[in-house]
Amino acid sequence: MDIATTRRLIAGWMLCAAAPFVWGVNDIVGLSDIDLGAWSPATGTLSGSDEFCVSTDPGLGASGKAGNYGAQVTPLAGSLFELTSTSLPGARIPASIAFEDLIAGVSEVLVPGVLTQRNKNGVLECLGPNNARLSVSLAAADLVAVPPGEYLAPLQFAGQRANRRQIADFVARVRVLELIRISGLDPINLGAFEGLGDLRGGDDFCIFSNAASATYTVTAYGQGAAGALTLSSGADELPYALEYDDGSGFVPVPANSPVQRVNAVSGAVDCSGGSNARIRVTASHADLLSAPTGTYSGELTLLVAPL
Amino acid sequence: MYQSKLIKTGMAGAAIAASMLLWAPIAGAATVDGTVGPTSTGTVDVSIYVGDLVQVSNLDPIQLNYVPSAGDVTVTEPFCVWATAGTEYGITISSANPVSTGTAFVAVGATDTVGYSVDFAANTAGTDWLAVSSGVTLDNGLVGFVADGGVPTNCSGGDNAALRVTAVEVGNLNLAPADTYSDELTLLVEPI
Repeated sequence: MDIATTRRLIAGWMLCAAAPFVWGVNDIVGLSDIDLGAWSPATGTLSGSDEFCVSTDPGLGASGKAGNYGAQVTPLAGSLFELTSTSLPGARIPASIAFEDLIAGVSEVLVPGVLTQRNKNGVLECLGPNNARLSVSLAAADLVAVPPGEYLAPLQFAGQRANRRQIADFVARVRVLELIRISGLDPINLGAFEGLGDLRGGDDFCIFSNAASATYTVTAYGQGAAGALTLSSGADELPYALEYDDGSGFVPVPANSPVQRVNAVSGAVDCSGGSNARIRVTASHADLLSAPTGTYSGELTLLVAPL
Repeated sequence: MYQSKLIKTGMAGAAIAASMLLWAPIAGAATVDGTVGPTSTGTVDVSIYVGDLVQVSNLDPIQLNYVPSAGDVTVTEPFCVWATAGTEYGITISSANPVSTGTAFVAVGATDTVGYSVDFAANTAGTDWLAVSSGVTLDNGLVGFVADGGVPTNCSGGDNAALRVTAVEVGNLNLAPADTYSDELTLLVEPI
């Protein structure tokens, strides 16, 4: 081996030895905020994602292909993946964040602040299709349990290969609408009229709202003309009166006219099996005496809405 | 000596009575909870059974004052029969005295009895009288008599039926010692 050859080998060895110390992620391009929009229960689990590009130095060997990297998402506030309310301290929605290698077609759920294995496919230059996707998912059970409003999480994505990493900040955001539910309803059977007095029956049920101090209205619709509160035997109609109690006493509820109620709203979707409101239905003695023989029935529809 | 013989009859009328069919909830009905959302709508099934109801009212005591040699004594008592939606009814009139049989009603005094008869009419016009046998239903040949169906259930203070009570003098009142003779008539009204 001549001296020149020896020098070339030494230079090559030095190049090979030096190269690992400069290999890394070169760039993160196109990572944007992830806006999950407005959630309603019909949506179920809410997900949003964003695709972007991660470029790396060439990998080992003579293939010329980009090297692999590890992915990491770190909360910039706190240590958990969760979206916090912009207006209500302490209100938060746990989140699940996944990273997908679009070249390999493999998705991986991330742990806050923990770098994945360095097996994600990079590209040499971000000139073509994106090669990475971050997805944020929020469970319906968590979304329904928080007050309405806007929630967000400032996050930071990092791609790392060897000893060089690149970072990009983004925000995950969701808006939870004001929600309400009426449940625990049962049929009201006023029984058989035996000629004496009014007939009266009622039902206890649950009004849920995700608003901490909800105000809501209740509107009643019967099956009579224009929503009149009447029962029908098929041939004849029998009117009845409706009263509503939100915990502060019964008040009359006319048909088709919203009545504002303010109390006894539960933060549990089904009031934990209990009730916090009730209705009372009364067929008057005079109306019952005027009614021909028969079975009278009808649906009473109750619409509750936040104010 | 002046003799006064008094026959009193009382009537026990049923309050509103119902002919109850078996009560069954409405088939195919749907009571449904609302779902969580910006608004929530639930439905409740409401049901009532109204049976065939009847009521006899406006009844008053019937008092027959007998004056010797003045002839037979007759008193008419109008009353009201109401039924759900003014439907038809049958009526059964019964004496409280077990000795009353058939059309021969008996009023009882301290030591003796007097006989009397009862007629019924489904009007107050004094026509279409039907002889009453104690405990036997009059139903107009199963067609029934038409009741009032308005509210209030007392024919608004008017009447639509009548009883006629008659005690004959000869061989009856003229033979009875001076006393008060009484009976109680029970009127059972039923939907047809």
